[in-house]
Amino acid sequence: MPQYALKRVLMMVPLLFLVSLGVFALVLLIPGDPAITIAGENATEAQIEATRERLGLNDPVIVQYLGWAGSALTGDLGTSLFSNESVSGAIAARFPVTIAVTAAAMTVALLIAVPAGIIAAVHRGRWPDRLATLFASIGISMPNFWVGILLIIVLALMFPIFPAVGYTPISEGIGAWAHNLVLPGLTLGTTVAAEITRQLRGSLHDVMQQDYIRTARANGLRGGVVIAKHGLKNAAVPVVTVIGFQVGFLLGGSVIVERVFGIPGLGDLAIRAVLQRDIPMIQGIVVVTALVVMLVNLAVDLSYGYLNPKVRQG
Amino acid sequence: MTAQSAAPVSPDEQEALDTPELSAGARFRRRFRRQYPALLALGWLVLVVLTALCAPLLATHPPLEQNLAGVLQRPGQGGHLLGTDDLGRDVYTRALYAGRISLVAAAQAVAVAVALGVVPGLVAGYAGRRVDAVIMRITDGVMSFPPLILAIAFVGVLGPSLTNAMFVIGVIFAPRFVRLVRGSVLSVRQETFIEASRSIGTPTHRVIRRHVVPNVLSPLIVQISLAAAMAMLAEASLSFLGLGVQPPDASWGSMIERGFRYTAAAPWLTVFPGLLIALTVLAFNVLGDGLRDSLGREERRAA
Repeated sequence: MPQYALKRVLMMVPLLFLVSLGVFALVLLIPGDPAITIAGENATEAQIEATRERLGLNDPVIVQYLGWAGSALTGDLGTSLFSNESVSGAIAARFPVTIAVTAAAMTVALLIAVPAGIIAAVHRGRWPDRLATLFASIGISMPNFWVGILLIIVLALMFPIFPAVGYTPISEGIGAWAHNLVLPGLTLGTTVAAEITRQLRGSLHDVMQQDYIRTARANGLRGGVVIAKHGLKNAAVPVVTVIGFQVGFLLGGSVIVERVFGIPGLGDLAIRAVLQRDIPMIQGIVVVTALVVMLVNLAVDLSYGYLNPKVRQG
Repeated sequence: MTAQSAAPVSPDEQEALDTPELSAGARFRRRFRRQYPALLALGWLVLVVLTALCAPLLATHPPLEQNLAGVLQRPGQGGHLLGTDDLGRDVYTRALYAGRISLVAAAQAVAVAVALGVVPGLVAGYAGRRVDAVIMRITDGVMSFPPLILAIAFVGVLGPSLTNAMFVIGVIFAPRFVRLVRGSVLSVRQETFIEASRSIGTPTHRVIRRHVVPNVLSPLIVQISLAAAMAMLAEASLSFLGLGVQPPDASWGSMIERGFRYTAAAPWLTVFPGLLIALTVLAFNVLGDGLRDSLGREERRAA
């Protein structure tokens, strides 16, 4: 197991290199002269030159990359072009909010998907399965910001149960914090629930066809115990993979949901950075979110070792 | 069920044995005709495409005509089927024209994804291990970015426009096509008929064109349908954030964005375009699933 884990961690190095290269290359994609774009249309020649100097745009590309990647490794992602705020600091301030939204969505998703997936798999082909499959298909087809607006219309405007907008930090009370997160969580969670339900239904159904399930049943184990002890654990590998994929989706989806519900998270920061063309901020956000996705995938891969001992030798 | 005693014959193989006179294509069409949800989805998509094409004929008002005396009218009021928006524009007419933009945008993204994905996929599947490893690492790299955040970043750098947005979405979807094509190439490569063709001296490019590509095609079509669904959602998301289509043009996504500012006063402004997106995306998904279920056993595995 330690050997497998080590190998898996080492595999991240080339991936990290590629990701950093891609993020750095964003600057090269700016149409025209980045110094003019960043300094603004009305900047004087001297201002443009100063900007060029400040961003190191006069250096060869390799030097620029090494400088950027070097400081990124030490946690320094540069300074915002607009607020002179450090990029790492701004991201660190906003990240807990986005994590909270993501966690709320994942909680909603699992609360819906696990029972729905099990029921659909057990009653495959009959009406509970058809109903779950239908809802899952609808769930992945609805734009999540639209779901959010519908939820606001029904649960905040028509029946004012939850607040339509805003965010309360957890330090001001868990109750208020959770109350604000219900609608964003439902909004994002439904799509993820649909994906997880589909995957769990498929893989649990396959597992339940296996000989060892029949043997367990023949030995007199009750249905619920068979599903919980033998079915779910063996069906978990593809499901955990999908959950891992969904974290990337949730980080992106959070951008939109934060917009709908007026939540001051990473997404809000990202949109402002994009509209202001705050390139270091954009780069920082992309690097940090990509890193989170990679770490989640690492955790997912390592969990295979626990769920399926055969992987450990691989 | 005494399947244990006889050699296992899948329903697909049984069908092939029962109807030897039918080609694979004909069997596919027969199976597809039995997929009622997929047929319904296809019908909806045809309807959406037709209404988008015929928008000028079906429109009841000019799409940009403002009427500040009649803003935020309810559906049915003042001869407006679906009401009016905050500038008094007819929502029904705008939805027709916005459908054009949403459909073209989805098509653009899928075209970019296919163009960028298919050739590297063929190369990765057919060329040696080293080339394969390099291509797969690059796709891993692209796939380790959260898609929407990468799209937002690119659009932020390139400047907000629908073409930029859809190009980026296409780039982000390309790895799926690389993986799909590579997977089907790897499985078809092992087949005896490829070996036979190679052994009689058929040049590689001809083997790929005559034997590999046709076998990759059907899973590709399934993936195209599913990717169109995702592209349409991605376009809606970016346009909702103001990073896609720019006013006065509108897509269904940007109509929701505009309506969102008047949620309390005029909920229909967000409900209708959202419903259109959801139904069309659902149709692409259902069609993709139906096509996949209509494929033969071998092809289904890759899709």
